[in-house]
Amino acid sequence: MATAKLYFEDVKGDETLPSFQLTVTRTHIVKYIGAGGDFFPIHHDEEFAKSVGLPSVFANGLMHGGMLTRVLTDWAGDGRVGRYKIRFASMVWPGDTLTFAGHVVKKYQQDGANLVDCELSVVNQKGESAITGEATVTLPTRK
Amino acid sequence: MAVKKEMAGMKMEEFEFPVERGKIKEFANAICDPNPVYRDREYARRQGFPDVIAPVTFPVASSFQMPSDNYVLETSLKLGMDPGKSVHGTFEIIHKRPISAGETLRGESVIGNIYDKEGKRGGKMTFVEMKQNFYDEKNELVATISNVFIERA
Repeated sequence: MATAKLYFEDVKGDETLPSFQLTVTRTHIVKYIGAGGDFFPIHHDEEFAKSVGLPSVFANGLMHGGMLTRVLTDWAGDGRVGRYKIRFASMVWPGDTLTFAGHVVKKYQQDGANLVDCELSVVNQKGESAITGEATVTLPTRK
Repeated sequence: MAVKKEMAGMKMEEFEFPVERGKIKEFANAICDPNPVYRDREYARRQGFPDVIAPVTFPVASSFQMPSDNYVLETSLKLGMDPGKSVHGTFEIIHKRPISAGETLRGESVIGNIYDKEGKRGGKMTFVEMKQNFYDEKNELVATISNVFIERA
């Protein structure tokens, strides 16, 4: 491997991961559906969504769940995520501005691997949680 | 109708999942991640990967390679679930190693655990886990997906 983006020794116990924001459009939603393959009509068919009492289509959770992985990979480098788990807390609507964030919760060695556990979140413009997540990344050491 | 708990552990489908460079780029575009490791083969190789690698949640896109048209919906119905009363609770993926373009994985869809819990506001909730395992050409497990759906009584 070439030089790593992040070494285990350099991780601080309470480190904040790089965050970013994005305002969701219907284009984001259909683009993700087209790439991901979940064609349940509630995510792309406005008439269907309204017929079941919703104000509009809402995003597939794995859309912002997929966007959120960037918080980890921009920080830890590529190919380092061993475990990624997300819980869907509320629906995301077109027009929502989402903040993607994360922080380190634990740094440890296990079975010869250098592991860092992180907590992750997607929160909307009202401060409501859309996703809570947890992940484990494996990092190289300097020596 | 009660969820058929006896289906826990049952293998539902098996399929081939070719990991294609163009599909990886399309998926990376869809999750708005500009990282060149998902697009530029030379960049990926300089990092020690054989080709561009797949984003963390990319194996989700294997849905296009499954025999069923809508696996989750069809499987929910086979399990006796009511799709109108169930929500997607959690998604988890375990990677044993990064997945690269040019590999052909073998996917299998399996029913995981099925169990009941009492809801916080009363009422029974049934948790249904749907898993996908992905194996490489050497038949080694490279990734596992676990989706949990929750049905309220």
